[in-house]
Amino acid sequence: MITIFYGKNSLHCQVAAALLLSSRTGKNVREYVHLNGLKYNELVYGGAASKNKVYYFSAQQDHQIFPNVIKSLEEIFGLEKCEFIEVAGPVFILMCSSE
Amino acid sequence: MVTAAIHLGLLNRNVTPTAAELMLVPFYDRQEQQDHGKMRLMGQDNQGNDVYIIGKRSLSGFENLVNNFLTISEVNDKPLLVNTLSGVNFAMRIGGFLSRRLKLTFIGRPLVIWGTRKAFTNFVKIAHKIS
Repeated sequence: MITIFYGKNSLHCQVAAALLLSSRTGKNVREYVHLNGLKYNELVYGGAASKNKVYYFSAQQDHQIFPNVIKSLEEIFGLEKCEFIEVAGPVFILMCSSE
Repeated sequence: MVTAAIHLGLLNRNVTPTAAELMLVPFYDRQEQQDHGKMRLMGQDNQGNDVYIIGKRSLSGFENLVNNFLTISEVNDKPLLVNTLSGVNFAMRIGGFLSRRLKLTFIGRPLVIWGTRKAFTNFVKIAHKIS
């Protein structure tokens, strides 16, 4: 299964992905945070927890349409469905505090 | 979708279409905001390829995103992505905004149609490159 965090801010998406991975693998969050992973308009691999691969995607404009694009590709090519988690400011803060 | 319609033979590439002909093109001036990012099947071309359209708004790196995701998903048969934005003129942008975003169809739609007819040769050129 693929989980994709997406949003406007690359750092927020990366940290959200790192928190999820850390909670599932028990490793330190820092292991999943890399400065060279702060990219925009690219699907970045965050890591894996068992069979769950985690990616993140950031776009400064119109990131909201991202799930539609991926869902269309899933349908056309008959691919396994991804899980999408939008990372907005308040969500980011909540996730940090809960960890 | 005009380029896709030309490629599929739904519009004659040698004649500028009338307003009525443009309105017969599937999805023409009917895409809603929630439809952006969805790939919609327009038809099958004479080589048996499925032809889809997608409105990507201002999402950058769209081609990379599609190819990247398909690589991750181990899909080898990548689609041919054709960016038609270069063919779109100002009248089409403003008309589309008025018609679909602001729901001012009575002003926006004639403007989109006028702009499309003016820009028709641009779309013909793009369609020509595909075939």
